[in-house]
Amino acid sequence: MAFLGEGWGLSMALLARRGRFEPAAVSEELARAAAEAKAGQPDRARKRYAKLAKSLASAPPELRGLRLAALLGGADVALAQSDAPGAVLLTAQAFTLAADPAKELPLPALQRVASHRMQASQGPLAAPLAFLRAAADPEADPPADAAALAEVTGWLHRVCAEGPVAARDAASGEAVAGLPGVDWPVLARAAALMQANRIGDAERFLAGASPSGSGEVWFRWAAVLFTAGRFPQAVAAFDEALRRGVPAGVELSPWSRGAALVGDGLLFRGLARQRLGQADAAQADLIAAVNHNPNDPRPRDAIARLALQLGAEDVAREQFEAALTVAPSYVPARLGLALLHERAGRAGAAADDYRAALAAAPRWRPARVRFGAMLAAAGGAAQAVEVLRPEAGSDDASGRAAGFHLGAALLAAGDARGALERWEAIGGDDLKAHVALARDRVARGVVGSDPAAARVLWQRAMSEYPMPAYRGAMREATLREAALVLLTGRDVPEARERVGKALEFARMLFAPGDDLGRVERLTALLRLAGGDASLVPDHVDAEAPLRDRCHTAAALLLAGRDRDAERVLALVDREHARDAMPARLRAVLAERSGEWRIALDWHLRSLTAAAPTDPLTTPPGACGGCGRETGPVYLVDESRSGRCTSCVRSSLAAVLDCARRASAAGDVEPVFAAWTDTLGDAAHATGVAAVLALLRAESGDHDAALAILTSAAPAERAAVLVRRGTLELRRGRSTRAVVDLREAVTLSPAVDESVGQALGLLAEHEAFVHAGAGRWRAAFDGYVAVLRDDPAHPRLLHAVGLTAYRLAASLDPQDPAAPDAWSWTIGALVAGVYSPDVWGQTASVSGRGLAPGQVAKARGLLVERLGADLRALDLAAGRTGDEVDAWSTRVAMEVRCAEAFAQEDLRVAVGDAPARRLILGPQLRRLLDGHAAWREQYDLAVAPYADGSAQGGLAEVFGVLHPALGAHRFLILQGRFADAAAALEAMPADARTGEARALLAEALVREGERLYRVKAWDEALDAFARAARVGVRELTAEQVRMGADCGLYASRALLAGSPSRAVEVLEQAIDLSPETAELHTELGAAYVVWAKKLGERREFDDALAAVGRALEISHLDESARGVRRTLLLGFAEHLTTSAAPADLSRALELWREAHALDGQDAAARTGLVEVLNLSARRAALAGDRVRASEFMSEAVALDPDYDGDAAAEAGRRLSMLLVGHAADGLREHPFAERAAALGAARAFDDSETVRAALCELWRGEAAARVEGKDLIEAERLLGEAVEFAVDDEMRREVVVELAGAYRAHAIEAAAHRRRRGEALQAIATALELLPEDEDLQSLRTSIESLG
Amino acid sequence: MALFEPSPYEVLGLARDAGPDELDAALEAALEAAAGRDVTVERVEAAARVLRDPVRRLELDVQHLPPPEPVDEAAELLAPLLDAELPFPERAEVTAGDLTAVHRRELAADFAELPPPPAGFPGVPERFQADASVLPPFEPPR
Repeated sequence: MAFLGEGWGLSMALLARRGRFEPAAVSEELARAAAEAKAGQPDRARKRYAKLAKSLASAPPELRGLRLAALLGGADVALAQSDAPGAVLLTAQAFTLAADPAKELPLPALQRVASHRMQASQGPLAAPLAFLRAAADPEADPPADAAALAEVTGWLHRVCAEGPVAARDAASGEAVAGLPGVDWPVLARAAALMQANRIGDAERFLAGASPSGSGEVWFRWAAVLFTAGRFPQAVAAFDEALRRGVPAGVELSPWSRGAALVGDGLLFRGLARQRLGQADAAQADLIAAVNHNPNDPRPRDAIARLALQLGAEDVAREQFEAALTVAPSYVPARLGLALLHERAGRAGAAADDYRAALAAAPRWRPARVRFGAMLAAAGGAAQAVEVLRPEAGSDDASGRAAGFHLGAALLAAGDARGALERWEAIGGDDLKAHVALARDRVARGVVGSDPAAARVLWQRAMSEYPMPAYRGAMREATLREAALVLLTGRDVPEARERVGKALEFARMLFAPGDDLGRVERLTALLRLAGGDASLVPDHVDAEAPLRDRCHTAAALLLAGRDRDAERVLALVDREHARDAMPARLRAVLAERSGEWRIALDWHLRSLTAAAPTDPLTTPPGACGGCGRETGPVYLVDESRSGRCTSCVRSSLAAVLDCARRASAAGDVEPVFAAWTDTLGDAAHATGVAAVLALLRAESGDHDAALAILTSAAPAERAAVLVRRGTLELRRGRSTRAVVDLREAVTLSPAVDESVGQALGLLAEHEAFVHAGAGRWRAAFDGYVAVLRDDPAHPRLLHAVGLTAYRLAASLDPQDPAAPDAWSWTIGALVAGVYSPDVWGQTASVSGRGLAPGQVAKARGLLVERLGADLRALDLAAGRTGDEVDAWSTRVAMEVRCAEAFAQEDLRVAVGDAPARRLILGPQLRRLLDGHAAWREQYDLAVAPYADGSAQGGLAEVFGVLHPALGAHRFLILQGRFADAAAALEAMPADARTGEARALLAEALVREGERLYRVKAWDEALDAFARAARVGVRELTAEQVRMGADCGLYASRALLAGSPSRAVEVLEQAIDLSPETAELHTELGAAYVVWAKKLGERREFDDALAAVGRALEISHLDESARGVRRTLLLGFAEHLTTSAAPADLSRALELWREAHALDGQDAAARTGLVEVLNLSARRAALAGDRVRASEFMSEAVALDPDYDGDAAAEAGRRLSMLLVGHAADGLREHPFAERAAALGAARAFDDSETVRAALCELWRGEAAARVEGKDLIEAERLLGEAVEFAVDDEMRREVVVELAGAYRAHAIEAAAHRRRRGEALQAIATALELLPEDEDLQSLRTSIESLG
Repeated sequence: MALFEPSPYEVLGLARDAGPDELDAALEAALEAAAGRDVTVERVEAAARVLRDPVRRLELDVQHLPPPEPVDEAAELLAPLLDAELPFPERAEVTAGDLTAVHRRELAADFAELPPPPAGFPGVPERFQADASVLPPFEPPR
């Protein structure tokens, strides 16, 4: 602040001392600032002003003027410095601060902020308005700059006149408030409200503003009233406006009428009066308006309209023309003239004037509508449609008018349907005639193609606007509709019924006496088409139309009057001889007389006869026979007419019938072929194709027939298949026959039952066919079914095996059907390939002979192939292939058995089948087991093998066929004894029969022998032992000897490394051969070795047991005894060091046992004494003094150096033992345990040694308590220790320690005011113990001084 | 390993009783057809090896299904069916509809002329006639 001088700080202090301002000082500062500005120090002045303004921001309201002055002063300085923005900113602050800126701010300042606002796009208008308000003050000094005034005023006009409605509304409202008493804001506001269609608001606003307003304001109010339809008030307001006139000396605004005020006032007052029915007054005003401004066309236009209203069309025309004279482009007058022309029926002239008016005012819609109407009236329908179509459609007067005239134009242009739509959309009674007219036009347009629609249109036209023409047209349409239905809908009952009603309706439209023949004929035809010939006249003359003659003949035929029918047909002219219907009628007549060949000819003619067509009226889809026009027609002969499917179906059915009756079926096959070709897909739907196929089948061409017949004609196809299959059978082609017969049965269950029986006979052929097609499941099932009738047939077995193999290989191994397929593969295929017949048949097919050995090799390859697949199957299932249930095992068993059977000539004869070789294995036997007849034959054939009377290879393997144990026997046969035994042992115990156990024993013995031979002693012995344990057979002496040998050899091999196993082996061997002494000796030695080994592992219990077993076998064995002593000592020593009570007891027993073995054994005695001492101490500490004394007495007794009172010595030794234990063994233990030990010692012997030990223990514990601040406990312990002291010195030491404890107690308590008494008591006790102790005395004095 | 698939006879297009000469010819033809396609050549040669080996060919032959024997009883059983009627469709009774023919040309001959339509136009309803509404109204200044 120093740079402002010393006065600055002082001034500001004065200004703001304690928040109070001194006006004088402020004024002084202002003056100082002004002086500085004047003195050319603008910066100082500006800063001073700024500081003042800032300081005064918090000044009381009465100082606001001073702050205003500071701001304006600052602004002036800023302006002087050319800082216009700064000046504006400060002025704007002053403007905001001022309560009435127009009065408080100078004009230049106001102009500044007004200009600033005018540069902004938005914001309040307060500044410009304040400027204008201030400028309006006549005493303004200096007066406002005129240019600035005009600029601000013009800007405000624009703001109020331009922009969005809302902006104008707001601006004009602000202007009215900011410039009271000024006209233009009122006019602007009224205009804004009117433009926003707020007529009520405008009226209310002007009602408030007008009383003091000028003529301009009154005119504006009058105009608003006129717009609101309040004509009396409007007339009064116009009066006042005209009276007040335009104020002099006022600048015009965009809303002022100015010079036009009088003319407009007169015009609109006249119009208002016209609305009020005051024609004369109105006319006077309008004439006055004309006179006031002869160049204004509007008053003349208004006069013309008034004349038009009054019916004075000449005056009207004159005034319209006058208006156009003064203003040729004045549109309303041109429209007035057009209207006058239109009313006079001068459509062309009217159209011209409308066109001219629209050229100037193209958006005037009523004129466009009238223009279109006049164009139409003048014959310009197309141009009228173009003009009117955009205007029509809206639901308002103009839209409806346009719609009507557009309809008229459309009708005139030939678009009756368009006119109908327009007029229907408008509706109204006054349009019914127009609508009916349009319907009539539409109906006439469609009656040719759709008489039904036309009939409906005329029916509606009649209901809307009845006219005779409509009635006649409706009748004709109805009759045509009936005729048309006979062509298109005669087969539909609903259509026939509808037309029947229409004909009834048409009958009513005829006048009495009219000829109804046409109605009658149509009615009869309609009934005939529905199957009722009763209405067809049974008499007809030769002049009648062809169709009437035909229908009469038809009715007669249907009535059974064949002669009459024939007579009528005779009336058919020769030129009609080939018409379809006479031909058909003649065919029927021929049929009636049994002349089938003639009938056939007529039917064929009827199919190809030319139709009575007319290229102009007959549609291409019309049937040349019946005339139906309902669907596709087929042209079999290009030169003839087409036929519908109905005619084709019925005619060809008749052709077929007649041909077959005339035995000329072969003649008509080409006819059916041609029609089948022509009909295409429809040939099957109509059955024509099936007939053609049957004709061909009947002629023997079954393949051609079946090429036509599909499964859509199942009965026909099945019949032909049966025929062809039967012929194939006759030709010996059974497999082809089977295919046909099976398809026939599948297609049609109704085929003759003999077909099913034949298929039964041909089952093998059918299976063969399935196989040829790769349908392995069906083939396999078929062959298996056939096999049941002849289960030993080699060819069938072979076929079953092959198809099963193919099926199994195609199945997923996880498929539930796979195991069965593989079983059949093994059983049937192996049996087949071991049958010589199969190889013979194979050779016969190939034509090559069988060289010696070739069959065996080929069979081997096939079996190997099968084995490889089965091994893969086993591996995939996680099997090795050696298991009894492995596929590999099964196939091996099957081969082994089949080989054996093939060496024999066993035969079975099942049912009607011849006796056949029995070759099988366990798989096939199992699969055929349920076949009762086969089983019976099988049992007979194999009886010698079952009862064991037979010999040879088959007898050897016969057991393999056993359902449960066959696989085990097979393994034994193969020398796989261990596998067999393992499988048998794996059997559940409840499933292991006596037979199974015997087999197990056999397997084990055989395995033992095998192992013995290979010197696998241990394993061999195990096998013998397991066999013996099975318990179903005694081992032979040789086997027993072998077992004993195994034991000896095995144990010797095992002894060094595994003596326990050696023991086991020997014991196993002894079980087998208890009489072999060498085994026992070896066993004793083995136990000793084992005991040593156990002892080395410190497994003393087991070791002692082992050596005990050795001593049982040979109790004099010195080696065993020595081992036992060593084990006892080792074990006892091991247990003695244990802390567990049980171990100590066991140790005591062991020591006693060792001592008993040899009383001179010093080690045993020493060990025993030690464990007795331990036992005595443990008992003493447990409180068991009796047992403690007993243990110690026993120990004393063992002392060779003591011969006194053992009991007394025992107490002493126990006491010392416990003192020593408390001192050493319990050194780290809690005080209580050590105290208890010493207590127990004292109980045995209250000696000085014990009490001294007690005293030391108590003193030590007291010292610990002192350290732990547990002084009272320390005092108690030391008090007791005094009692344990064994001499004076010891006692004095304890007393000093006790006094020390009390001293510490006193010091500790003296620190607490409330424990001073306790402190005095403690120090007193200490002094009692050591009365002369000066330190204690001094301490007591100090404690007492604390008070 | 599985059974031969396809059969070497099929690979070479040979009959089961084909001899060595036929085999040679078939092999040559098959190799010619398979030239350039290694896999096919390999298969052809493998098939030929099988067929040239008497034992392997015999093993192959026995993998073919034996043809069934003729069954005479089946042919005898079905013989009467050769004389049975084929199922030709039954012919329906002749109906009145079957004997009715109506053609457009013949019907059109009966059609009469339509009566003429009403003459003239019904006129313009009053509500759609011209009036002063076609003149724009006077609008006082807003």
